[in-house]
Amino acid sequence: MIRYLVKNNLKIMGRSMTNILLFVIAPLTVIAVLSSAFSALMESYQGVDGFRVGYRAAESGMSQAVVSGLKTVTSAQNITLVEYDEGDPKQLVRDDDLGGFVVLDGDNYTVYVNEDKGTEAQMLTYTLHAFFENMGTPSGATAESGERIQTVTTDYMPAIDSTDYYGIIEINYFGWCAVICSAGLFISEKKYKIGKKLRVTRLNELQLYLAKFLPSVLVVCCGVGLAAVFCTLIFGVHFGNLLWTSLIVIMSVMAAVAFGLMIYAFFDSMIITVILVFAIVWIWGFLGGSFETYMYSGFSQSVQEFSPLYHINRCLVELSCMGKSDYIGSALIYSGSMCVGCSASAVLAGVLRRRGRA
Amino acid sequence: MATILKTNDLTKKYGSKVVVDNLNIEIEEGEIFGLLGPNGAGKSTTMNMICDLVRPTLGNVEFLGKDFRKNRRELIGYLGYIPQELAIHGNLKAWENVELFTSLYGIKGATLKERIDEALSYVGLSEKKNDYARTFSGGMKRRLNIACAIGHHPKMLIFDEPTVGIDPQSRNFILERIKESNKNGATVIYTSHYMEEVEAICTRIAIMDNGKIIATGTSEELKKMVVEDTSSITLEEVFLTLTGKKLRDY
Repeated sequence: MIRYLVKNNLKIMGRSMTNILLFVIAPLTVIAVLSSAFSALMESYQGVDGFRVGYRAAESGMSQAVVSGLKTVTSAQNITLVEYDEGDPKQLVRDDDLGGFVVLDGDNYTVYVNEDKGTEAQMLTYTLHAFFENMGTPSGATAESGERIQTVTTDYMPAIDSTDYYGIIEINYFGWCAVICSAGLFISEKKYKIGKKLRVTRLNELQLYLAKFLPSVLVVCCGVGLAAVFCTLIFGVHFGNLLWTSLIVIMSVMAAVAFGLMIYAFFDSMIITVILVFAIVWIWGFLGGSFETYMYSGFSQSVQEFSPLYHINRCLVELSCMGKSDYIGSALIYSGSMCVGCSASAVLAGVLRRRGRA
Repeated sequence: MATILKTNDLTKKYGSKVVVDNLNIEIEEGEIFGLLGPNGAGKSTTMNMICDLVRPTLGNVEFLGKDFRKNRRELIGYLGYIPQELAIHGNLKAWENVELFTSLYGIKGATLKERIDEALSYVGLSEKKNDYARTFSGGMKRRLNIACAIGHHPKMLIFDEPTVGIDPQSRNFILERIKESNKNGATVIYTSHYMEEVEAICTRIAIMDNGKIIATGTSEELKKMVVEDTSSITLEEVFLTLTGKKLRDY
């Protein structure tokens, strides 16, 4: 029964110039501005020409042959090993501006890294791990942390340039402003009391909800898809695995639409809905790397992970530059849960509002 | 004739304020029933309760011999509601508006297309079916509003002030169409503040004030309640005599 209602709501949304401006033109403009503004910052992420690492082999430690082999491997990565017989490794890292320090002792090695040099730390731990894995000894790395020194355990992510990063991120961000897509329909329905007339039909609250949800998702997905195509053609943005990327973007749009419709169902005011949705999405975007990249974020990991945009952004970025991501699951679960939870809340709010009015 | 709609002690209270007070009306099949009353008399609340937009505090509405609330899904398709507001989408074409509302009663495919053409032809908008509703004049929008409510062939049409703010030609056209719908078998409930309209088309009129029906009958019967010589009095004068001349500021 709602087929024709969905079709006509789709026409109302599709004929709105605001939707084309918001979901196609606006992301392209913001991508151009942000990728240009942050290109130098993003280059610093990949711009490590070479660095020095201190090392000390304990007397009972490895043979000179192993140390010599390690030197060969590290020099191939532009890492220069410098021997220090004495001194506190943490102090040496700080004072001598080293990229890190390795203590080789028996079957173990300990890595000290400088937290101000994240890229160097990742390169060093990755190189050491690869070297000793191939040798079969020693058994692994021992973590040690201090005030400014810690062992880096994060995955090493290849560099991503600012155009790719913001190309992906901003399209997703604007997708989260999906509620604007149905604003014209809501305003029209309220102004002309169309909602009242719709209630003198066989439609129930779930059908009324779906009649808005489905066309909104379709319109926003089309807008976002067009923006992605233009981004690829104009800026040369790489989206990585298209299947996963598309699935995550569609789920993200569904969550965004459900979230917007839920807020509207709660407050029954388009102005309040727009203000609230934009404010909340801005905060999520701020935490999730939509403006400042999440790699350089000053927020703790747990705060970042509170934002659904962080999971989705990180997943899309990693799919683009690595072809895989550990965040696919969390992005899909977060989006799916939001979609179901917000939809159920919106329908429930509609039922309660209807009873309240009655 | 059979009773198509009946209200049984229909009451609506908002807090301590009684808006509709033990309303008992019976509407016969084939009638054009006029509901008159000053602002705040309870007409709209009564209409809303009949359409199940507002839940009664007490009492119930029987439609086609069944409790309307309990059999809503079955009975709602026999009802056509034309609200006072122009409940149409400006960004849809005329035929799309009719399609949207008619389809909500389960009509689809070729039947739906036929009903759209029929409804638009009925309100004289066939030539404008591909024009956007936003480009229509006030009178055309009113007619389109009616077309959106008749496509599913309801047994009862509820008109809530359908001629507000339109020119005499459009008003005359709408009144003629209401009479024709009635001749074709539809029962009509009609509210308006234009007494001459009500007098011209309604077969029975109820005057409502303070939530109660204070008089019911044909135009002649209502006039006789006030004076013997009915030719010397208008329905408006009867209305003012029965409801008083005091302003109703609600």
